Amino acid sequence: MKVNRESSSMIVRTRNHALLKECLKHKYLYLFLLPAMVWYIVFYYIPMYGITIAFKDFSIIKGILGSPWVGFEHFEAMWNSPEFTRVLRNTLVISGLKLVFVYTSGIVLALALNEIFHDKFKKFVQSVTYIPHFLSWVIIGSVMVELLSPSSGLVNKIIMLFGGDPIYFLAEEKWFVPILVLSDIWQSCGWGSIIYLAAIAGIDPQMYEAATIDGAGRFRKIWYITLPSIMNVIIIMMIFNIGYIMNSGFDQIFNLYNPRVYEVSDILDTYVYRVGLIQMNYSFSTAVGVFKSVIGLALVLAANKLANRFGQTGFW
Amino acid sequence: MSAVGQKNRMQIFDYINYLFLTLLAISVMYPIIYLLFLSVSTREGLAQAGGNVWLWPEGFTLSAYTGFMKQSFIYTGYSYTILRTVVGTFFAVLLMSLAGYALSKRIPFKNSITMFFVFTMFFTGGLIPTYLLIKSLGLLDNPLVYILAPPFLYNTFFMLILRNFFMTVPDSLEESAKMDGASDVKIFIYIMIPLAAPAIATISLWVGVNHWNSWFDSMIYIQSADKQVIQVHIRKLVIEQSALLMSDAMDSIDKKSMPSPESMKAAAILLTMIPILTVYPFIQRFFVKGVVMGAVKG
Repeated sequence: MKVNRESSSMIVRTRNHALLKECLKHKYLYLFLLPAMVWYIVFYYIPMYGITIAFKDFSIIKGILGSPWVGFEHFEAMWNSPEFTRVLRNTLVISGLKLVFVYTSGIVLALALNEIFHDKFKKFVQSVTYIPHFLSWVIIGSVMVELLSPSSGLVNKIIMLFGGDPIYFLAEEKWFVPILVLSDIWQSCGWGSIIYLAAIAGIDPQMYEAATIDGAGRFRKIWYITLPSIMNVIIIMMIFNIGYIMNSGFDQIFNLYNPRVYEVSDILDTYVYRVGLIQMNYSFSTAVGVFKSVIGLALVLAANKLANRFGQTGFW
Repeated sequence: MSAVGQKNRMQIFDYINYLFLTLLAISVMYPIIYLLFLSVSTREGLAQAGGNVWLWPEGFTLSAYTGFMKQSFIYTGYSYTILRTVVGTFFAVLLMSLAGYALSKRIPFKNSITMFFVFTMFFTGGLIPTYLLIKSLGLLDNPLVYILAPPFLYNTFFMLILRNFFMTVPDSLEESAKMDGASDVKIFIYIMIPLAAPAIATISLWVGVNHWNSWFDSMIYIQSADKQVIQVHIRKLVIEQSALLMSDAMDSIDKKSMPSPESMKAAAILLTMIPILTVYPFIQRFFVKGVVMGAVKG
């Protein structure tokens, strides 16, 4: 017994020794990783510790450590706040609409492009539709503010040309969310189609030939060959999108919204920003942020599990 | 491969499809062209045309652009945007390549270290704790924050793409170099970097575009207007409709050739968009390659 323990501890020791030797052999590789480790600790893991202020009454003067604990007080206040209910509802509604319309727009565009047999035209449309992906929402938002302006915007000039009354699109509740969805489609459908086009390119052309011989038309070929062949990509992208449902697009909404449409456009991220950095209600804002992060993490983990079940490699 | 067997027969479906895609392309191009025409139109021309341009500028003047050229915020804004794009991209790509290379090798604790990085893709401290950190580091109102703050210096997703690329380099190459007495550092500089050049180029472009387009960090961490990036100024001018910024810009222009405020805004938007649009045709294919690369292996 004693001998046994001694020998096993010796094995451990030699194993540790070997490990150390192995590490030293690669000391430069660890040196390559060192700045990354330090940076991640400072910029990601220290803020994670900062989450504790959601459970404290944080004041700048007392600091994180000196501020008194208050438990779940901020979370209770959050849960009872009508504003929070509103931003949670808006987040889910906007994400849901984007999941239905924006996410499918990439698939539709890929299918449409695939039916074009004029290569130059196809390349041209692709190149042009990718452009908005490279522009920030500050730029796109600026363009939209200009085009949708009720006094001088192009869209309202066209409406007036046809005898309609100008509409203040960005300040009317019933228009704001449709504008969000449409502009998101405009910004991302081209880029979103790339992955589906790549998947379509991998389909065996013999399947189409066989279907043609059997007398299948265009739509039948799309429905029975193209779509089923890229279904795994469609499902995996869908799952990932569901994983990110707590993010409804901060950059976009922040650059388009205004107090007149807060009722339908204020989402978790914009609320965290305003309560935290404008009203300086640090603890409460962090509590809302933590709520969002925790739900978001759970969703991503669930999405990953689901993706693995579909036989795809998930995030990891 | 598309539409096999029906190459020459245009059906109604095709006409609708062509029309749909053409309209989509126009919806991207026309706003840009419209802003261009608007920006060079004269105040009188616009007034005569009912305040709008359609398919041609109303009159011609560059005074909106020359007006902006006299504004100091254009210079400081562009300087910081260009500076952060060049310097920030350089350091980010260098450091991410080093880390990605190390992670591609079979070294002890590799998986734990990777998880340590990957976890931050799914959970972070959030806005306020990060802000308080930046503040306590003394980086508020310090332009260094543009390069240092997340998600710029290290981006886990890009780092993993680089790692995946380094993984495809055959071990034999490295082993023979080691036999010739090359160290890890030498192998990285003389073998890995040249081999990974396409991947590094792609990641550089991505990081570069992200830097060029970023505005939120500048808006929340930097208070001094003369240290802010160009995107923040454009945001103030067009989205927040800052009267102060507009009147400053207008004041610097001759009363005779004064453009309308709409032309000024159009010019401001284009000034920020044009650099991206000019390089876009040359870099587009790298991006597309990158997406497929990231999606397949990432």
